[in-house]
Amino acid sequence: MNRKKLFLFVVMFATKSVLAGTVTCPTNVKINKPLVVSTKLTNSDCNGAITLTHTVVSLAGNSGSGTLGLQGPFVNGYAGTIPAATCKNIYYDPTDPTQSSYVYKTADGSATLNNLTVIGKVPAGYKGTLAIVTVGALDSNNQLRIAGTCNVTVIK
Amino acid sequence: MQRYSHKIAGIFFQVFLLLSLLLVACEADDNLLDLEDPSGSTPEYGIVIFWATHFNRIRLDGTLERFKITTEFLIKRERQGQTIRFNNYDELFFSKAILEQYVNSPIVQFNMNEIMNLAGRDNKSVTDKRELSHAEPEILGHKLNRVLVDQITINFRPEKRSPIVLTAEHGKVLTDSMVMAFDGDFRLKSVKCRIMSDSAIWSNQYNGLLLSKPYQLNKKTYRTPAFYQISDTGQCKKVQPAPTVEYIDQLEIIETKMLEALPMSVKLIFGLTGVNVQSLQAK
Repeated sequence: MNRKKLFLFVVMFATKSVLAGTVTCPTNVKINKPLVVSTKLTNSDCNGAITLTHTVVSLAGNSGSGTLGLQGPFVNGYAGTIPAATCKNIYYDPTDPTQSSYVYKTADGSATLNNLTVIGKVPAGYKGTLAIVTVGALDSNNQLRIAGTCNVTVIK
Repeated sequence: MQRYSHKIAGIFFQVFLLLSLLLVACEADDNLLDLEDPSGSTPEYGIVIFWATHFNRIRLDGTLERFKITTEFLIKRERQGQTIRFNNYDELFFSKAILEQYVNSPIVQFNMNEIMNLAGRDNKSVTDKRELSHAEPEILGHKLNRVLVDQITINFRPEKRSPIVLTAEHGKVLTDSMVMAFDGDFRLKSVKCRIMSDSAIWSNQYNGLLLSKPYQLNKKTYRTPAFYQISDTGQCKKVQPAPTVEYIDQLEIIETKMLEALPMSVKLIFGLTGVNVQSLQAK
């Protein structure tokens, strides 16, 4: 790969504005009890922080009619910012900063949301089944960004 | 013997007449039915909250008929997704619906409030806050999220003027944005204007129609998107520049993104491997 191509590839990768994340569910949850998860949101964009206005959560599971039922999506106000990724400019010729450079990302920006309530009462119909939690967020442009999913076993 | 057979035939005729009248009366009583579905769930219509056949509703202002809706079939049910069912959101489904609306403004406006009232539009949050200990989540917008209509006719009736008639095979309304999308053989007919297209979007915010696909206006074909307002005299007035009108269904987006985010192992467990995310996005 020549320098120009490498430069383009790395810059495109490094500046793509993506909110990603991991969602952590408890191993199991009792019916009629609150389901609380935590999530780590990451921003891979070197240039800009992501401002979030709401969290969007849902719980999918047994609807009792042969299809997947969804509790939610529920929205909660959340004023938070996921900082931009930490990035470095690497110059092809360190002795001459006027020459072209490429961007190297050293770490994603991140924020952790603990104690995120998905639902106040897990429906009794979910008893004995596996349910899927999805966590997302609305940004300042009201765009939905999905952070991730996790599974939880619903017990009595 | 012949005299008795005449009498018997007469009795049969009277019984037949009585039964016919009874059947007609029963059919008329079907109006304004508001029945609980005994099963609560049907394979064809999903989880039904209520249904009615031969439903009609009229709002009068004195003797003036402000609004009338007539439909062969009405269902209120949980909102259907492509593969999932949104348990906290509802939708109304009408089959063969005719809406008659009085117009008293120079530009035709569409009043959706009458339809929203059918399902309690103000019921915004579905979660019982007394039962919550950690948070008070709210749903995204209105509980009645969408209205679907198969074979829709809207008759706009300006006072002392000819009606403006809008028809389409399918119509769907998002209650949060009050944007209505028409698909399949869309037609608008007034004394001065005839529009035909495969689809159109009505915006309540801008009181007009966005024609984003090729359309015919008074038998002349146009291929560039345009926005029209309809006057009470039946004229189609082009609005320039055309406002930005989009039919954005948040729940559809959420469903698509959620399915995209699911790992393959989870899709396998829930039998979602046949879901074509690309086709969901196309819709």
